Amino acid sequence: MGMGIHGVRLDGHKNTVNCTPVEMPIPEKVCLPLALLGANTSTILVKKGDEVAVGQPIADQGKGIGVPVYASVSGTVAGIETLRLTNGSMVDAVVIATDGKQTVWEGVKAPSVTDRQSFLEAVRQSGLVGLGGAGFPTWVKLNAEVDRLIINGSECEPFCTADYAALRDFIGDVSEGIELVKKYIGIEKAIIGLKHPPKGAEEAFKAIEGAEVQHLREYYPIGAEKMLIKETTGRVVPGGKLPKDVGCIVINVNTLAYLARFIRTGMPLVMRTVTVDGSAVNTPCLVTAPIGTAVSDIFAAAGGFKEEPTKVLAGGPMMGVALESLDFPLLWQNGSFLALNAKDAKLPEPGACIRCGRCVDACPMNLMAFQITKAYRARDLETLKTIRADLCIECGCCAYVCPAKRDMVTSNKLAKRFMADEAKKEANK
Amino acid sequence: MKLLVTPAPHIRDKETTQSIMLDVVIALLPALVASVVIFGIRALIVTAVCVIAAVLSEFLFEKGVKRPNTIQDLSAVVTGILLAFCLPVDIPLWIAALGSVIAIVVVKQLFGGIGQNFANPAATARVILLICSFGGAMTSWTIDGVSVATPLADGVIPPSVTTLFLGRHGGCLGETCAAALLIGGIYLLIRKVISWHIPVAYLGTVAVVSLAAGQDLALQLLGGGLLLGAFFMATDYTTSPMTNEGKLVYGVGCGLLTMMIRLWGATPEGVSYAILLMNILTPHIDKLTMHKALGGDVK
Repeated sequence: MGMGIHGVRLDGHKNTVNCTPVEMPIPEKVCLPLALLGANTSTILVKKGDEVAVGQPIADQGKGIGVPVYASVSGTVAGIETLRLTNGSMVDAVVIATDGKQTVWEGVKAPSVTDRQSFLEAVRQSGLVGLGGAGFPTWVKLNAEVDRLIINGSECEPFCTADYAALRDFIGDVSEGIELVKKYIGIEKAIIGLKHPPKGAEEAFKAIEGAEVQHLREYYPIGAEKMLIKETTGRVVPGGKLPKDVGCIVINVNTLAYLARFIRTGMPLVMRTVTVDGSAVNTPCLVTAPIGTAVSDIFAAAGGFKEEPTKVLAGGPMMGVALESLDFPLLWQNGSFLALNAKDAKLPEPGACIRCGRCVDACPMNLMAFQITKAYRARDLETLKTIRADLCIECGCCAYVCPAKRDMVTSNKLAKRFMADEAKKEANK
Repeated sequence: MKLLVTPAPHIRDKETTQSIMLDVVIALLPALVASVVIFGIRALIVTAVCVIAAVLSEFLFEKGVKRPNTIQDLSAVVTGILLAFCLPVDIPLWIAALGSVIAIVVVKQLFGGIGQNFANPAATARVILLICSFGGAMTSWTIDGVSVATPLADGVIPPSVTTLFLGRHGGCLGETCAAALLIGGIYLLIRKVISWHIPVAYLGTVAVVSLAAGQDLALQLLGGGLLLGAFFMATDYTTSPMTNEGKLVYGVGCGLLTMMIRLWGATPEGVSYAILLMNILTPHIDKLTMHKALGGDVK
């Protein structure tokens, strides 16, 4: 569908597709930050010394689009710390010293869901955010009038297999999630986008009324929301608009599985499975860990390092962020941690643009990537607006293909921020 | 444990500017071998002089103006070979060397170095040598010391298609062997160093105009510098459009200008002039063929 294949072809490195997730021992402590998206309006409900149990709320939903935060372990609140998120924002985080018992909070019970409103409220109370990586509150996404539910099973970042594992081990939960959303949000048709699904997944999905499976083409970033919508429905999300504006909700398979489990049991997302891989690890594997577990504990549970890692990524190699410390906690939306050795960690030195046009060919958003850098350097707002630099989805294809090894994604991000700042200044005039 | 923090993406394609230029050098080797077979060992000497002069002038200029050294990207090597391929085998070596200095210093470095020049260094240097007082030395063709004319000149009996393919006829040292140039061009296409758009549009336009004007098709396609120009010079990244649509427009433009010069111009050959003129139009073609962002038409 659409115009030619943009994007890039990447080696999958899906080394962990056949792994059974290792359930790690309960760590000594977990760290649960508030406000994933940087807008911290939640109020912390516990204080140092409080006893907490698994599934107990430790922060309320706050204002706006916020969601509550739940204890992922049982134990004692050791304190409230300040944590710097990878986007640079500073947030409060509740640190819990675990007791290893994983006592379940007595308030955990299945929510009563009877209609759309009670369903959305339940999803909000579940604390669920998009588990594919973006971490956007799921209830906000679902609060829309649409005619297409698109299920993202593409997992197009190399190494990542947490979504694959959900399709393999929890296909019943994923299917149940699809049925719940279809039923309560009122969506007639669901399209499930898959790449190399595990055995049985396709059959299970076909049993759902109004659902169809679409095999996705083999390119990155087919799993990016706008690409997936175009690929499955032919619809194009206009610049500055959301999927719901073209009648679509896109949701990740893992998110659906957790959603179904919450509606069934009332247990919020307290544990998740992540891929642990990269050239510096001993054994690539899947690990199931409580949310808030330090990355160092996860690597230790996975079998430790073969050599000292030079770079550690949360997420995939194309869009993942490099962590500054192994103390950083596992967050809800993290699907993988990759530890890279010195050789893989080193990025090549950038050279001059030779105007080869590879970035133009690779951009899935059809942007003239090389021009963004040039226009941003000149702080040329008019050109940035004309070439729609604001539509860059930061997928990394341009920088990946660049033979001069230019860091185009960073200049695109800076250009977008510059445009947003200028727009704000304009609005304040 | 100290961790390295760098921006995404954390993996990069293995292709580099250097690997691309190396591919171009490899693609030019068959034509170099052919030129030595056809014109003798002097073809190799001329090429060596051009390459050494190009690399040396890039090195010295960058040192002089304290710019980072870029000779390892091999683009100066490519320029040197391409310029040599546009020269007659009997060219005085100092003129060949001067051509390289003009290509690198005047056309490339004075405009900012790799990626910044508005015209193809080799093609421009050739044109400068032609219109300077070296015109005579630039257009006297010999094979084995015997003076011959380029097949495109008026009044010359055209060689057979086989001769054109094998290249044993008058011309610049790298342009005569069509077979070798095609091998090189196909190598560049397979390695995805170039896309088909420019060569196909360029050669196609020349073919269509030749047929329409009642010209000998094989002679027009294979007799001059067209293959060298279409595969190796018009496809220069820096001076050709970025989008595939732009490349088609540019290729057609090159073809039309080449045929206009060949049919109506004062010189028998027009490839370098045509490419040079289209180089100048490239920024405008880029502007006209800019991609529309996905979902970008709604503000």
